[in-house]
Amino acid sequence: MILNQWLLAALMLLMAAGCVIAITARSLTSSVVSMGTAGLILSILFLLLGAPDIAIVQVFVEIVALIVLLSIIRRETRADMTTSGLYGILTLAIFALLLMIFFIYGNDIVRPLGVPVITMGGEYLASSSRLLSAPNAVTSIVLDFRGYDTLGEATVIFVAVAGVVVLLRRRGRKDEKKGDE
Amino acid sequence: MKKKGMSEIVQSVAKMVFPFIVLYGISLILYGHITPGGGFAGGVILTGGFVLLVLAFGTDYAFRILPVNVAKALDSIGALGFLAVALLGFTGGAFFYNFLPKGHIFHLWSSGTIIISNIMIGLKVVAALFIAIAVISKARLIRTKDGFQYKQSGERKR
Repeated sequence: MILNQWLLAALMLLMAAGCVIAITARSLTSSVVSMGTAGLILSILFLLLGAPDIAIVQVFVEIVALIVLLSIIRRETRADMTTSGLYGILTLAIFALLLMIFFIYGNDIVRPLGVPVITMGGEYLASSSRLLSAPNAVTSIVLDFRGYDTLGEATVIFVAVAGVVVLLRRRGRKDEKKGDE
Repeated sequence: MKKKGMSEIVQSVAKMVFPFIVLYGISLILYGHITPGGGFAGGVILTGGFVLLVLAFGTDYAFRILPVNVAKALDSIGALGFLAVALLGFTGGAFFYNFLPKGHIFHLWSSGTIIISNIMIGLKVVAALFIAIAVISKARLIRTKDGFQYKQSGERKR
């Protein structure tokens, strides 16, 4: 297990490096690409920690976000960043160091992993295949046991898309060339 | 005749790859209760296929495959269908009660309402993200002498 922890620590260090480069890079393109690196390593971390559902979602959301950001940058902006991100580097380095210490030696500080305070999850895992005959416990929790939360998430997506459509609409927009405010 | 979008190579590859992406997304949605995946993952992958179409052929080609009005209808159908599944649980006595027969484990038509909820969530996610990306890809900010002006591409010049 020690190898696994050091592997996780190395991946997290790479992720922090990607974030630092994303903040401090001069050109927006390299900044976006290193942000994509951080997202990719996050999906690998999810896969190593045993959550393939979230890993699939993470890698595809990251790809779509990267493509959209790159196309927006290529189309809209000419300006690059001019500030030096020294404070960004310092903050991120300290945060990453503390996070790594927490994850490596966290077993001594907080409860050990796999021994949760709330033992409801074991009941969910046991009854997922017995009551619902659904082998994928994640789906049966998300869509059946905790379906109310998923309804809230669907509402969030609906409201977000409605906001995008309303804010970027063409109809009913005042023509600014005529000078009326 | 000048073609819209990217080069010929990208368009050919996109045409070849797009059915497989759609197939993978549909399989992830349908088998969400058996294998890793589910409605959200499959919907995001389907959206990735449509983003590929938007990039390779331009927005109009993607709108010919999935028109905006159909996408809006699918969005509403997904949201209302998921809510209907939740409300139909009252036939069994509670909100989100799994009222359908559960079937056998590892079969496709098993686990009651979960597969219907997965399909509804998948429809909702692909329609919503496609609408958002299409609307954003049509939006333009024009720099004028006093700030920015918002415009949509395809708008007639006056």
